[in-house]
Amino acid sequence: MNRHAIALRLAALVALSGLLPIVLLAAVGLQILRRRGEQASTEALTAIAAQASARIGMYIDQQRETLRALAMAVGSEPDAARRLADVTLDVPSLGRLRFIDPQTPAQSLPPALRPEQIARALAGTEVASETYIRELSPAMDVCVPSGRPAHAVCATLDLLELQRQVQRIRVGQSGYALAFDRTGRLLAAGAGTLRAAVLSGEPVPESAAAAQLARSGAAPSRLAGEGGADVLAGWSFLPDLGWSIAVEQPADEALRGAREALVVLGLGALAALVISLLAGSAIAGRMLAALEAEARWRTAGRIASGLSHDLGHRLAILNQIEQLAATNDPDYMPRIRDSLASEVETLRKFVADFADLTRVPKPDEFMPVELNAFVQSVGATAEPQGQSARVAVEAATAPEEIWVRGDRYLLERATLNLVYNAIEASPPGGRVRLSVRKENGRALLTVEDRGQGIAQDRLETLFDSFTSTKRTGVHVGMGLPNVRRIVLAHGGEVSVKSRTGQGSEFTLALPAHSSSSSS
Amino acid sequence: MLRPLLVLICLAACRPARNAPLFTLRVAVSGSLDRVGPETTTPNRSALAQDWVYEPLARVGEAGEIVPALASKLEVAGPRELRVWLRAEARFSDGAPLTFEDVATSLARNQLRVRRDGESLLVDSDDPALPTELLLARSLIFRRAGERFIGTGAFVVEEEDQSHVLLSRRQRQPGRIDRVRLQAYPLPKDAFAHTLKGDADLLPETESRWLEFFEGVPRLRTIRAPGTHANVVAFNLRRLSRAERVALVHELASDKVRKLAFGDSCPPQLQRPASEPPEPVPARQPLGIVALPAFERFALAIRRALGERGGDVRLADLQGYFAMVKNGDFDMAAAAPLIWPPVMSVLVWRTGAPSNVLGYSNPRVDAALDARDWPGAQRALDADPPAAFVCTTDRIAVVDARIKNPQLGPYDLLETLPQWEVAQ
Repeated sequence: MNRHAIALRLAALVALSGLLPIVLLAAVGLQILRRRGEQASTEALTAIAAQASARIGMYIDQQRETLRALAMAVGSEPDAARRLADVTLDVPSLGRLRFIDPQTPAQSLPPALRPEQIARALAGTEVASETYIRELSPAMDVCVPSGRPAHAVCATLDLLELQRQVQRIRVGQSGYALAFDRTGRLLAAGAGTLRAAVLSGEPVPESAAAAQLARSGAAPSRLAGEGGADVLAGWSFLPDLGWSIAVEQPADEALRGAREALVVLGLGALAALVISLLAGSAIAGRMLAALEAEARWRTAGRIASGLSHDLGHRLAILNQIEQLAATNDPDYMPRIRDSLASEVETLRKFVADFADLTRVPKPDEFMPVELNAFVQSVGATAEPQGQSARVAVEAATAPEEIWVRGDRYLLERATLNLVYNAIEASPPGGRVRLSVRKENGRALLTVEDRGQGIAQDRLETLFDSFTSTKRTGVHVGMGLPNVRRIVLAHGGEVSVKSRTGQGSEFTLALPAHSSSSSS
Repeated sequence: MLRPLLVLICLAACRPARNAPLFTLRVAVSGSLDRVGPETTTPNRSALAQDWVYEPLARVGEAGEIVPALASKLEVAGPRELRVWLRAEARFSDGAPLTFEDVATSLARNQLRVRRDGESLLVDSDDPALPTELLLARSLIFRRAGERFIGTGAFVVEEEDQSHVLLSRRQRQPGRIDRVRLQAYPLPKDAFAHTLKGDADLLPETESRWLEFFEGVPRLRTIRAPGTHANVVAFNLRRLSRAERVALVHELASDKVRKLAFGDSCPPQLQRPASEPPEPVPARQPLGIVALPAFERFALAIRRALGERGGDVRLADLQGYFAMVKNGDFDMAAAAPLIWPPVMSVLVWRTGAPSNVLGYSNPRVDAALDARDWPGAQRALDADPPAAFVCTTDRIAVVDARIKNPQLGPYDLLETLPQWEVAQ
């Protein structure tokens, strides 16, 4: 993973961990707000419906009161019929006034009153019909006592004013009012497209709710309105007239505030996330670069320190050899030759360690490697070193073939490094054992010794660069880090188990392959 | 290289859209429908479509004058004679050219005689009470093809029965109405309701009191034009003297009566009583008023204006009403005669004219009408009034808002419909 990807991942982690709880909290808050908003909208619509009902009720009362006053004032006059006819000019809402008596022909009686109601009216009781549609607007027949026995004054109240009042009610952009009779028939509509139903008597979606309100006193506050649209509704009922007034508004419009807040929150969160990612990624990238530079300097320092220490040691030895050579004493020549040979060998290993670091594993060039043969080869290679240290090197194979894919040279360098370390850690007469096995699809190569072991506090940093404490003059602390680098490049991992005084066990775990095929 | 490309782009952009949907205007009418013929009369609502299928030689212009229609030119040739030149390119809908014989046959149905005179035709009427120019404007030109009548108008009849009439434009014109469908409903209320509901796009002859129901219906718009009928109080000329009638005009042709009876929906008529009040007429028995039920409020307003002299208001159906008027069984009658175009006065007030149901006769009025001196005729009428003119009710229609230039015809309500443009 490169530095940019690490920076992006870090930024995403920070941004999500910071934003997510806030977004969740806000979403919950908005849902509560939405619910409260719906409740508040319904209450406001109900209040408007109640006001409209009150106005309509008052209007009807005024009309009836006017009719009563006219009947009492004119009804007992000899020219009552003519004077009542003239009233139509001044109070058109009372329609055509009729002065009736028992002899009035049926076709001249108010059309919506039943015979028993007419009889009661002539007996001096005020009667009123149900609301009905006359021509274009609602109407109601009312008869009041005239002040003359067996006579009554009747009017057909033109409730066009009801239509006007309903039509005047506007809520938001598209909210309107509707008025129904007790059967759910539409009497007046604020919505233009529904007005045809006033005349035709066709039920509208709200008719059932209006009839329900008249029957049970309750109606739903959220229902499917015209065209199936989800609407919020406030209801009011006029018990005397049996009318229901509904004031409704599309839910989308009523709850637009909460919805917009949700959208704003979503967009805000998204924007914050993007900004966090961009800014976080840039900042993390810069920080990682700084850390990397610092680490590079530290590494360079460690390398410099190691190099100066080891090369200084070598230099001191070479200086001593030079002093011996300066004596020109032939007796020293064998010693000088051996020392020079030893130093050349040491410096060769030194250079080889660095050369290993420069070789980069290339997965495209990996080849099949059979580990049984491999450990036997490595064991054979290390045997001379073991013999010089009087440590036995054993290679134990598995009963079946175990294949991995890799750079054989680098795998050998890594394994030899572990074996040489094990030899160095083993006391004379000791034993170093290489073994292979297959476990859970992985090929395991183990190097174990019975040496002094590694202190627990060093195990965690054992594979870090330039942390070797051996400082024998041939180690600059690059061996184990190089082992880890090689194993990781092969898709594997390296682990160590060690107990002080009992020895150590290094295991290379590599992806096992089923066969020697190169694919 | 670029120029030809631009030309191609322009040509492509200017080319009319292929297969653009036909625009059908649905017209809601109340009453019965029948065949759309050149002689269809008003009770049959198919008469609305006459002007789209047939054309007259001349029609009534915006100012009430008679202007050429199917004729290319008109001239007054004598007191009751007009010289007419036919449009050379005029064709019937079946492609046949317009001939002298077609014109003669068509005009004969309206008591008009026609004869050739060089390249023009001379048209005249025998009856001085039947103005030639008005009859010419009312005579639709047709040709018979078997049982069918063929016209020269913009539309042809595709289907017709009692419930609907479907007309389609002879030659499609981009941005214009392609088809018109008359839809019959039993009552005006039903036509109104179906227009509100969206089943129809045009409601002709809408009453002003209906208009508020269309508020908040963006699909529809209201259009108005000055009325052709006046609301008048007609006098019984045998019962009321000239002096009484002049005095009554002063009392009745007032804003008080107009507003009480019609509110603001009826602009005042141009006729005005004398500025100085005439001599008061001695009180006698109250004056009775007859009216159709639709005019009850008008009759009550008249009675109130007359105060103590206002008599009984008698409401009667159409038959009873005309019987009372014909028999002279009335003092005053609420009526609505045609008063526009001005030449219509000849039909209504000239001695012996067919629409002169009051039997009015005034040589000064006759002379002015014969001379086509409309202001002079009006002055003569004012001096010896047969009626008090109260106001003229606007003609109103409700039409689909997609129509860009809806305008009612100066004479026939929807005669301009073929020229209406449709928003694309």
